[in-house]
Amino acid sequence: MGMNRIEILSCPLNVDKAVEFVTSPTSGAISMFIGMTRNNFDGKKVIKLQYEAYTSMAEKELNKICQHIREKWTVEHICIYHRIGQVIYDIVNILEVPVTEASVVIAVSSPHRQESLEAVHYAIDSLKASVPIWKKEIYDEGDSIWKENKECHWTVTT
Amino acid sequence: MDVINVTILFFAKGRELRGQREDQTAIISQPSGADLYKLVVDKFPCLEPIRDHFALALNEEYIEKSDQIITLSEGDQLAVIPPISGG
Repeated sequence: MGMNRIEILSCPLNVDKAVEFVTSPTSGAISMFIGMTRNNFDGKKVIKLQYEAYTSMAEKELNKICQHIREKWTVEHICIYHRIGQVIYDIVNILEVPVTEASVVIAVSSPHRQESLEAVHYAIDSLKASVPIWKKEIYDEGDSIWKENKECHWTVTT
Repeated sequence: MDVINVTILFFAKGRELRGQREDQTAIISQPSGADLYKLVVDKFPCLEPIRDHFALALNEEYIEKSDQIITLSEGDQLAVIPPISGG
């Protein structure tokens, strides 16, 4: 029986745990998407990211995504983690080793690879269109902006 | 027409414009979806900068900007959802 795990977390995401959750002896494939935080945008240096969620609704929307996946594809387990809270870049380290963190982790297992590959692709596209989570980028020059996903149909920039 | 007290939640840009995360407001009990969008901006003029760029959710379900009548109940939770940026 396939299981879903959905977590919205204010700590760094554990990719290994997601893989562990979806691992199953009857699944020959695990497909995964990891969204990473970026420390730059249009040449501007991002020093801080702030994620905010309407957590209860976000969990509901993520559950709907899991349901849709199960209607469309034969998959076994689904794990979706999303980061909230603050990700602060170490400005000293940024010059040499950019600090990056996973903002979203999606892992799906299935008997055959095509199913989980397609399911993961669908999951991240749907998440960007419907799950109420927001990201603010704060730049080193003091300005900041709430980002908007192009997949979101009430976004300003489309 | 009946008036209903609802809780209204603000997030991200909406929260910054409003200056708080949560408020109470009285709204007619059976607006159309489209009217509800207009009523929210009427009640909270601070949302003017994003008036065409937010979605509404009632009890955690998105509301279409349509002619369909929405029936509000006392204590319902309405949320202003600015463009999302998860992922």
